[in-house]
Amino acid sequence: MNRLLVMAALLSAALLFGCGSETPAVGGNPDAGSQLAPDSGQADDAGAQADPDSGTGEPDASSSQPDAAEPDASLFEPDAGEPDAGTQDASVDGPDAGAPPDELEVIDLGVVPLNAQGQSQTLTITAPAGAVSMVVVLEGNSGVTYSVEQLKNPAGTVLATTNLGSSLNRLVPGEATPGFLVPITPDVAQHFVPGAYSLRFSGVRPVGLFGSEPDTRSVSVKAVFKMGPATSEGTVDVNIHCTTAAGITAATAPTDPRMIAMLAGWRAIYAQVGIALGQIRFFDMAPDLKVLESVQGENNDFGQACKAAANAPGGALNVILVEEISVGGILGGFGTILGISGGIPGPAHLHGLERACLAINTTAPDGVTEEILGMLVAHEAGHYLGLYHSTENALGALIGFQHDPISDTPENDPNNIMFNNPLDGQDHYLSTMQGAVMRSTPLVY
Amino acid sequence: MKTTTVYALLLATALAAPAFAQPLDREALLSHLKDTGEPVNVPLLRERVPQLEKLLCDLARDSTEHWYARKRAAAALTEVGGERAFSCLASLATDAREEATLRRFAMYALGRRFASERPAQVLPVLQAALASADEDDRDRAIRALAYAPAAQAEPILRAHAANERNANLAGLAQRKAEQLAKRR
Repeated sequence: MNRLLVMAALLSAALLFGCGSETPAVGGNPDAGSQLAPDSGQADDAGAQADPDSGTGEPDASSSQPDAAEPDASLFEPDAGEPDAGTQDASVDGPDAGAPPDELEVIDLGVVPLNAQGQSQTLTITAPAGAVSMVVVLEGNSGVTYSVEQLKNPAGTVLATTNLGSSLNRLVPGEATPGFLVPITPDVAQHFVPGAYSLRFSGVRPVGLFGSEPDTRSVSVKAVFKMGPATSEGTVDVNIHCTTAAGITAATAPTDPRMIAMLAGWRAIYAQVGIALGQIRFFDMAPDLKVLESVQGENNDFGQACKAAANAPGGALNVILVEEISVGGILGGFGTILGISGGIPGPAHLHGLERACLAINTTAPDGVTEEILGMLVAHEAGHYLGLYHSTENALGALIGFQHDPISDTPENDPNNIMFNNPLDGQDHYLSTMQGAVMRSTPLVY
Repeated sequence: MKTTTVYALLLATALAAPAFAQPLDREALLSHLKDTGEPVNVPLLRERVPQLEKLLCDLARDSTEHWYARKRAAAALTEVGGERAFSCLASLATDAREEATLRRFAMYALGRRFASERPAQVLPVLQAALASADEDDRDRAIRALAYAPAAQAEPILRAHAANERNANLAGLAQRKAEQLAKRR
């Protein structure tokens, strides 16, 4: 029974943080998106990225002149390894969009059939020498929850099973296309060695309120390796998608005080672990998506938003600004959340997937939004970069464990940005090992 | 895991909760409501919180509490359902003095949870919101109407789509009406 309880509690998280399917493009496309020219106070071609079907009537960012104050250029420029960082004339053209190809190796395992029980065959994945991490991404079917049944390393050590409490490398199930990260914590890094790994997974889809059945449709599988050496610094590029939530558009975002505050807060938190925000780009997205009425299940709104973000360059974290995120409750009920990540971790460096984004709620009473937005996006991006809640909510005390698998995160500390309720925290921080996990994921270069 | 379901496992969690039961006080409930990443665990709260509906309603209406906890209390109340939940949400949704984020959320929740079973009471609230000068009020009203009985809501949405001055909202109303038409 304990196993079931452990599974159940974590599955509730997995449902929220599942991943999706679609045709991904590996790597960035530097020419595909618009970049901000912060020194001119306008987005150069953000409007060109707007959903042509949205009928938004939004101003074309390429031609509009924000009438607000000049943005602080330092907020929008790459701040790692750029000699001119922090100067007013700094260009946002820093690192190329997307991780440099030589930092990643991608193995395409092809289309994997599932049997009548929804199980895959045992796959062999060969980790190259020099890899510091592996993210296995299942490009599965919308609404289906996938679980790793067993993952063994080349030495035959079982790293993960569906028994999360006893897994060396905890891998929560995820919807549609989860990313499975190894090592999930530096504490088990010694078990991530070059050679042949064996993986078996399964998929189930809900039927009615309480039922389910194996999903027998095939799944595409890729393994994305982050190549070493591990570094103490890294950069992540960001695409911010504006649905007109809180009145923010791609044109107005660079000068919007809430965006400035959000980026400043996010930047400060991640700087603690050597992670800089690189290129920041803003895009318009269909206003319909400012209210996400569903985040799980087949063709849910969150997945639609992630797919809509595919028009932005790959190799960057897609952040969707919304006004409301509604979730189904445990038994199909109703709830609301402040933010959601496409996975723990998100689907690696693959772009255009149903869960290749995170969404944050920008709407709050005056004066509060600016205070929490940076914390909120840092929290959700932390999930996307491989972090669990440092401590789950106390109401989950009935399960076997509540703490993340990282040994240097204190328990029940609301100041940790990955605490389940960071709203009560004061000095938001990330631990050294949390930083190492984040830097080991493919989006950080 | 192959044949059991996510829902069954989650139900197992909820049903197992009483074995660990200690009544939750207001502070513990607030802590849970502020959890940024998980849905409110209403089945568990039902077992652990005495007079849950009253406490949730009091929290949702208490302007001195954290706004997010208030919003989550309203969401939990929506899931709990029942007469007290309905009256509390209706009160929250129609109180012009209430903070806009809370009020809009209550209106949407009211429609999503109660529009199908109490259309005579809910539809007037949503129709009134359609006439609001605030575009976000109209946005939530359109979305909430999509959960009402199709025979009643579809004509309302079509009429609104024809008269809505914001093109985005007109399109949203039209799409919601078409979705309802498919259900008829």
